[in-house]
Amino acid sequence: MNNSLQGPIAINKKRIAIVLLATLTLVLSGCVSTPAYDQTEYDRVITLKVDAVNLLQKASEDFQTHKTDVDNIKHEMSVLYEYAKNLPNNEEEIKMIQIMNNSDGTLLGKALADWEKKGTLSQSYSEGLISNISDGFDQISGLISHRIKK
Amino acid sequence: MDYEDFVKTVITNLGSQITPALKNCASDIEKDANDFLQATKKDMEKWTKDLAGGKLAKDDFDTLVKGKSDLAIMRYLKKKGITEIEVEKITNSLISTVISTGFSLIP
Repeated sequence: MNNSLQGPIAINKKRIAIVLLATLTLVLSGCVSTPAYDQTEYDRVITLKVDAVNLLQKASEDFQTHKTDVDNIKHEMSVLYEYAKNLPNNEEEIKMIQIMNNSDGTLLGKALADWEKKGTLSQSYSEGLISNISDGFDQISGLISHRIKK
Repeated sequence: MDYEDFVKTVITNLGSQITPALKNCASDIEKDANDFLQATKKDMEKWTKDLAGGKLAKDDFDTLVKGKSDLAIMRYLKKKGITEIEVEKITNSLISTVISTGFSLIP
């Protein structure tokens, strides 16, 4: 009699175990989903940092001479922002790019706006901006570099 | 405003932005921000000297100083993002462990 019950009981246990496993896996996998590591995005941030620093080292020269380069940097920042905006659960990077890009703020957006408005920037001011902007890009790339390769 | 007052103001502003999920590590975040701001003291001294010497305009000085405050916020955002990534790594590891352990127990 025992032998006749073992089969169905074993099958039921197996089914229950599979259902529990599937449920637990689904619950855990739904907890957090951060953006995947993206080498292209990381490279884009590093290139932007280098280009922005190189450009601002010339901020004692007339803005109009470098207007094309400034427009290119602005375009690259827009591309970075649009890309970041479409990644899931990416509020931190989006906020960081907004802080960096704000023309009424204190970092890259402000530096480019001031250069355009004033024509040239003093050496002391541009050196300070470069130091702060470099640090800001390091924060963005630092976040991206921690992401999981999926 | 002297430098210590500036640091206190930034820490207070940062504290108001810390989300409930990160309240447990608020003291760590504030300590990181404080360490960072203390490390920027050298820049502040140079800018103050340049301001006094006429090498730096008043509004440019303000932008640079406020920039340190924005950088403190960016450091907080990076830390928050990395914390979420670490949680996902632990979750992924847990899923693998659950699956492998679970299937090994199925007769």
